[in-house]
Amino acid sequence: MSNLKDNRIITSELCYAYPEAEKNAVDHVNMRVKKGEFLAILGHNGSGKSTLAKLFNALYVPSEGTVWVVGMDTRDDDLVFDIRQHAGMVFQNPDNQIVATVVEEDVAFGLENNGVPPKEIRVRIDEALAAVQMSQFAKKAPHMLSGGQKQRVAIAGVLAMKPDVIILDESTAMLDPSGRREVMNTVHRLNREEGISVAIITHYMSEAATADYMIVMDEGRIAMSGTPREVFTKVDQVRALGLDVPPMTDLAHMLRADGVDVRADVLTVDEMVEEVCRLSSSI
Amino acid sequence: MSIVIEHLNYVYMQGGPYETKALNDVSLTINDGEFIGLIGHTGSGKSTLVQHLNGLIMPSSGRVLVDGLDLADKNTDRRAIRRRVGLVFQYPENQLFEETVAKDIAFGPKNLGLDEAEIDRRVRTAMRRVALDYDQIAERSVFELSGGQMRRVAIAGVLAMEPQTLVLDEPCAGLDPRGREEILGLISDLHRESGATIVMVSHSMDDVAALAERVIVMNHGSVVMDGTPREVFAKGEELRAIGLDVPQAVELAQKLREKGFDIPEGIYRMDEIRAAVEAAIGKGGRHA
Repeated sequence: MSNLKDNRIITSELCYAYPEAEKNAVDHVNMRVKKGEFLAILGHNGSGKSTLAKLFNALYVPSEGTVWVVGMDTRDDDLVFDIRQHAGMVFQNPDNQIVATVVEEDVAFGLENNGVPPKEIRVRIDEALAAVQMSQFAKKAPHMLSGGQKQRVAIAGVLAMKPDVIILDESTAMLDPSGRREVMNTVHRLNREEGISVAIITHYMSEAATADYMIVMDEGRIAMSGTPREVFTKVDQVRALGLDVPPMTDLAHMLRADGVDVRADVLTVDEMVEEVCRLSSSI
Repeated sequence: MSIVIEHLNYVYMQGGPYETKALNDVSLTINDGEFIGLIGHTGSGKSTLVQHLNGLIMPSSGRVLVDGLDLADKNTDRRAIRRRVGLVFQYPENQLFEETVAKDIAFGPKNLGLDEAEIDRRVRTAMRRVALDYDQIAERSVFELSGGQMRRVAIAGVLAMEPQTLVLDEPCAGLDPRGREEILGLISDLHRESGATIVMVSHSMDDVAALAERVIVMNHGSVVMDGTPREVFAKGEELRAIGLDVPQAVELAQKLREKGFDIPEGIYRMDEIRAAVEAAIGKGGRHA
């Protein structure tokens, strides 16, 4: 595995079947999360994307094939704690993953379990809460926080372990638009400034559009992959997989159907504004 | 059937250290047959408000009148009101509990003391309305179903009470795009075909723009905007200031106007912006 250094997670012919299931929930998947990459994984309910995420940090162990997290095989029982330290996971429901009654104690939970010395714990808590811009809430009770703030505390708990990759399994699904923005801005900043790789599982096309690369799952397999621009341009194929495209890509698609020569790979409002300016000046 | 809300106030944990005023002097009339989109960020009071609509929560002060009947009045039959105003909670599938789909949907009608034939008719009608095939699904365990199907079973359970007003608190939360489309489609059909009054709480401005005839915006426990989607979404700056988004069609229209394009005011739907962009580009941008 000569490319282990450049990849945080690699899967090879990865399969997973739930007990007594006839079919594989994840079926011969070959993919990777590169160092510093922001990856989005999409797919309708039951497509296998959450199962895939749980294979990334050894919550599930492959039925066949292999997952390497920073070079460590997730089937090796002795490595499970190391793997979860390198690949941290944030789940959907903020209320199900906060365990302590004070924010900073919650962030410390993983560190204490890993036997990190108290002085070091203090430093890491402060750094992690600062990184998610929650320092002023360190002594607060988690149940007094908003959904977006709770998810940022959960991210801080993962960050304190100094991970190489953070996996967000529909972590914005239960949040309102401003909470979603808080969480997305936080993980994008960590990706950009700290170089932490990010893999998000999401139903929101607008979130996927901000990724470097995306994978669309269907029936446990990778049905599409590429940059968001490459994938979302194939509007009909994306829809056939039970997904949608960002609203501006949809508009571009409709305009093209009407014979307007707008680029098919428009993702954002600003790009659409540019296109309309370009087309009107060409009269 | 109308619901009149007069000077409604609601305080959580009144007198305690965490006393919170969730609703602050809310006055509204929900008219028969309306489709209302209720928006506001988390904690704005939307969920507290909708729980007042069928008497699940009683006002700290003020009144809620359903068909002229005061919900707080001891002589008002609250159970009768709950049959008229059906409330679908957030993540309603978490409340499914019966052995089979049909039994779960029948639970409400059974408690009304209806006879078997009527219960069966209601279960079949409700399942048809949420596009679940009776022959295939009725005898299955709810826990064998997909997330979108479970949600439809939960909605069918409320529909089986045959309410005239259906209140849905974020009915699409957590569903994938196909599941969202199914749920929105069935709500829209219900409104159109049975004339039911719909109050839909939503975080998605695009969904509200596509379906609602009237939009009510809440912030800090008060109603801050109330009007047609056209009127409300024209106030993009104010919506953003209280932590909400506008539909992308509105944002595009605004940015094009700033660039000097002649885009009509009040545009908020995709088909409208599509026509406006085509008009703005003119023939120059088209294929020969």
